[in-house]
Amino acid sequence: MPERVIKITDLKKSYGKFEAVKGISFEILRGEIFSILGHNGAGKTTTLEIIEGQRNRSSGSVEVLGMDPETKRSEIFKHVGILPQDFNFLELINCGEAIDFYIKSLNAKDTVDGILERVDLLDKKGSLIKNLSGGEKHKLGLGLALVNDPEILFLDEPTTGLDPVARRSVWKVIEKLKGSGKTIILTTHYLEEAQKLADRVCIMDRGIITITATPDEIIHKYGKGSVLRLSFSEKDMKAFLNLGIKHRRSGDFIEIDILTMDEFFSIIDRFKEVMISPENLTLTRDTLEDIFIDLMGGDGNEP
Amino acid sequence: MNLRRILLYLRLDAKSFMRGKTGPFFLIVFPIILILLFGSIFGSSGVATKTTLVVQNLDPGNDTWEIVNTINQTGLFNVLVIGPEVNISTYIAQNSIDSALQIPKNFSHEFSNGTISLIYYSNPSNQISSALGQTLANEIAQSYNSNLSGGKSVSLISRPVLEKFTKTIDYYIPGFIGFTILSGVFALIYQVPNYREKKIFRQLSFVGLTKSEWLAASVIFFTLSTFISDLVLVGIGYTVFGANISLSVSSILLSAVVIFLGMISFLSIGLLAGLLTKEENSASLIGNVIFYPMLFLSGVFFPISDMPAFLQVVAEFLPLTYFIKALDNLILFNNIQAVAIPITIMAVTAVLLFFVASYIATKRERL
Repeated sequence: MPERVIKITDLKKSYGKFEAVKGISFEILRGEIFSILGHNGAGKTTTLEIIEGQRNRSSGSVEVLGMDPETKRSEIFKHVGILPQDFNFLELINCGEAIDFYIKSLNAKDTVDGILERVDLLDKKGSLIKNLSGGEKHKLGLGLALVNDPEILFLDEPTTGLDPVARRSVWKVIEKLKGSGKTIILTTHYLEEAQKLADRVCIMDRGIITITATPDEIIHKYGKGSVLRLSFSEKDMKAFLNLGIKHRRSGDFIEIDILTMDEFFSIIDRFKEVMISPENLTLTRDTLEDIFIDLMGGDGNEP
Repeated sequence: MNLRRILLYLRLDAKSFMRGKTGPFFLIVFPIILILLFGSIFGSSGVATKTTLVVQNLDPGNDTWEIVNTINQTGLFNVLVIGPEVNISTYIAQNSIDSALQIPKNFSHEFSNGTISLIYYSNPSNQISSALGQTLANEIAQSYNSNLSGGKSVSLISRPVLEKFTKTIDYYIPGFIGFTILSGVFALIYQVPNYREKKIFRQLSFVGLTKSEWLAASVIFFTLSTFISDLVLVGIGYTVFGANISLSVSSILLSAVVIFLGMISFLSIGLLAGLLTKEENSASLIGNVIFYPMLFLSGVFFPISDMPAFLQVVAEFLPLTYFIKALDNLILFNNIQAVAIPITIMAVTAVLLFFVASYIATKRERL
């Protein structure tokens, strides 16, 4: 079993009378991408900032690599990289200078070009930060977070506000990092992002954790399964009806609920036996987003 | 505090600053414009230029021409004599004359009768020429009155406090340096809410840069840039306008210390003021509230001794007051012994303000 790198126990944080985090507990294992999902104001960023040592907690305990971030902040900073929400830096310096400042300040061994290459930004080495696009800026933030070759990376909404192309470009970089064995804690608005990148997901709602599991487990447990949607020619339709498979009509289409992939393949085998060929066959599965909307309400894009 | 981190950030900040448009302008170009402007006004002497004095002598006597010669010899006026046939009121109006002196037709005769009078025309909106002309007319009248009474007159010779210290611009140079140093306050009042809003302080903290290190880097940067801009400023004052400056190696070094201590105090004030607002837009309001009262109450433009007693007490609590006192002594009088007390007060203030500002800034950031 992989080593535990972060342990949160009964964490609470209040701002005056407002309780932002109401006693949450979870653990994060080395090498996994752990995603925290939730609506705006769910307590994701507060939780992340407490783990990073940026914010003090009201009660509970937090351990990062066996250390308390409230008392060992600077020691923890040597082992973690942080990409904060809405990353910004001095706008009138260029990407190379920013990375160089980080490398020298942290006494890191990496090179400016090496870091820029890892985040696909080498061609922007001499560009001023103010001239970077949203996606390039996020990549630079990611590059700065990687300078000390961190064991743990905190990525707070790394693709918020980016267009779909820029978002996918940042995902590519995160996937590359995942391949290098980094532990990544990712908060995001985008459920597609969590489903694509995360090994485990925790869903926060108004300061509490409602679910912690892998995306597949969540889909399996809370989803409605898959739906096989197809149509037949007039001749084949009679043969299909004779098979007695439970289905429903949706216009010109037939819809069949599928619970497991075995069930799917067994249906396909039966079609072959009676020599019928389905047309326009699609198999759709509940996404994390569908389940999130069911569980939390809302439109799913901005949970 | 980590000196290496401070120097690394200093280099980064300097690059960023120099690539900006407004920062270098206000720190370097604006003070130069200011000295050129003030130098042009006050550079040549205590007055801007020689005042033109139109003189009309309606008395044909030699005594009265002696008066005109004496006025000419003072060198204070460009004396322009107009003939007796000219209507002086019309001449003044047509030629926009600020000062004119008319010696009446029967001046010599009435002198012996004891009822002499001179007519002085002045433009009240031009205070310098008006005051000079008025003084001149009074002096002439008093001199004649004294002779008339048969008494001996005592003349008062007015001289500046230093033999060579005759230009108004000399008085303004320490004030200009105070002005440039205060611009650092403004820079931070804008920068702090901007950096907080964009979470740049947080980003810098990821490399371990603390608030006190950030403030220290800002102090070094502004001290160096202000010192350079002030050298240019003093150089222009000296070479272009002939300002009388008493500098020695000791006074230059002590001036650098004064600027450094002042910078610590004023940037700490700037940091504290910047923490008061979350938005850059309201920063200018706070900046003005701090900047202008300090500027006017610290002797930058008006002597503290001319202020009402309660404002003089207020001035004693302003760090800029000691800054100006110290620079006055160093730059104008080269009086190194006299700066001990102002420098001590500035050092204590600087240390206190630095630690208070760093502590509050750190506490405010980490909630």
